[in-house]
Amino acid sequence: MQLILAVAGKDIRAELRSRTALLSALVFAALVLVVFNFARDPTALSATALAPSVLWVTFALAALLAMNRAFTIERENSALDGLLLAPVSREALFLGKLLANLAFVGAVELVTLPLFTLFFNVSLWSSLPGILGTTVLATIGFVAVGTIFSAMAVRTRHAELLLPVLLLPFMVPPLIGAVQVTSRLLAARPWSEMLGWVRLLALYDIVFVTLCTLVFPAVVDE
Amino acid sequence: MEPIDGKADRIIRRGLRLSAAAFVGLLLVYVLALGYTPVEARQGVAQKIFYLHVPAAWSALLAFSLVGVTGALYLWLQDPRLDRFAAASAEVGVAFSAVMLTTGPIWARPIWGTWWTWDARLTLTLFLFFLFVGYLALRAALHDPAERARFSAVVGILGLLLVPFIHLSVYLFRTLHPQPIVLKPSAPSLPPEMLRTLLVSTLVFTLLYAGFVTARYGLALADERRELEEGSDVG
Amino acid sequence: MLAETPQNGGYMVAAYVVTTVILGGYWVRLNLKQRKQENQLREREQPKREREDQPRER
Repeated sequence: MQLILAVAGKDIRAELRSRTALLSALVFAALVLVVFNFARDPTALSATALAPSVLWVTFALAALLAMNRAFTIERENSALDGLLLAPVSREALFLGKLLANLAFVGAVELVTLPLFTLFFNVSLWSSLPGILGTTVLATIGFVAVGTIFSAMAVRTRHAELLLPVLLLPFMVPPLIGAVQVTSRLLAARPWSEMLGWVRLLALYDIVFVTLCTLVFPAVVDE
Repeated sequence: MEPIDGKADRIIRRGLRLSAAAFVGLLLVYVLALGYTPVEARQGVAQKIFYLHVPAAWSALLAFSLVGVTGALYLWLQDPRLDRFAAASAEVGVAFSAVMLTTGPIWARPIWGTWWTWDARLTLTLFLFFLFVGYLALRAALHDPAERARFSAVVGILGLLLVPFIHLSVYLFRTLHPQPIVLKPSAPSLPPEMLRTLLVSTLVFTLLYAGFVTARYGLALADERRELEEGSDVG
Repeated sequence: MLAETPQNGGYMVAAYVVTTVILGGYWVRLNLKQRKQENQLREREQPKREREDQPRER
């Protein structure tokens, strides 16, 4: 457990040192929000109808960008090779990376959220705990598979193109779930209507975090 | 090297022969579908696309499952033949997914007036298609055979487990947003001619899959042998 | 819906043609690859035999 946190800590520090990654992801997210605003016809669709989709597409794209960048930094530093030489549990290594990526993507999402409320004039206060919870659940889903795929993609020449192609299909179930729950939260629907989707999100996380932890050794070991 | 190359060649030929035989079977299916089966009253003649669309979906799903399963077996047993098979199955799967994704809209349009519907089968096949493409793209980008095999296996396994989640998502989506039941034959009351033709078609498509995969496997083996020899010629 | 059966034979033909083209096309492609592989094998065998008759330059 300590090892996981240590690995996570090291990765987070690495990411913080090169602040450009965090900054570019944030700017990207903000720009996507702006584009969405101008891309819609305000008379045709209300902001609230579109809000959940816009928010989650933005999160998904920003997550892709962030994860790709995180592994690129790592490749540049050859940090992973050093760690692998040590008799470190591969599972702990993966969970540490997962946490670090989670923190990274989470940070981007946390800053994007107020921007979102600002640009789209949507009030999140009443549903904030639900929104935050959903964000955590869905992001875990994104990042679990994303960590595995970015570890693989980073060894190819066109990682920036390969990662989305591989990862986007996997982001769809958490994305659907998140959008469905968010739209119901914003409309203040009763719990019963969201339960199925929340279960989907949770189940996805459990299955894929477990699976990715199990296959990580195959990605990093010879 | 002659005997080994001969082996690859034999495998390829066997695969090509098997698929040729399956094509004859396909011709039979065409005849059955067009002549033997009744015309469905509500959907008209276009309903007969069903006899190609459903078995193609089955073949695509079979191809995909085998990619995942052989990938998992590879991680366990480290046998390169498993990886070679997975790659062959993926490519063949693309072909069947393509059939599925073209016949689907061609069927949907006259029946439902729309080219695309997000029903379970079409959505799933679309995802299979993307997963296949991603799988093959990854393979193309990796040059170390062992690394390629390992990474492909991981993608295959993860993809296999994605399928139930896509299915679940579509199911949840549709129960909450009821849409007309699309592309579903009146299953309980399927006349025997239809059922029989469907079964024959499924068998033919499975044979076609087997033939294609065998040939593709053989080609991959031949490629590897050739690269090996070219390496030893230069050195 | 009208009581009469819709006339949509065109779609059916289209679907069957497309299926034949895709599957048949893939089979043709496999055949072409096989032929190419055979030729490459033959080409390599020829110069290789010739080279083995002559002394190596390195």
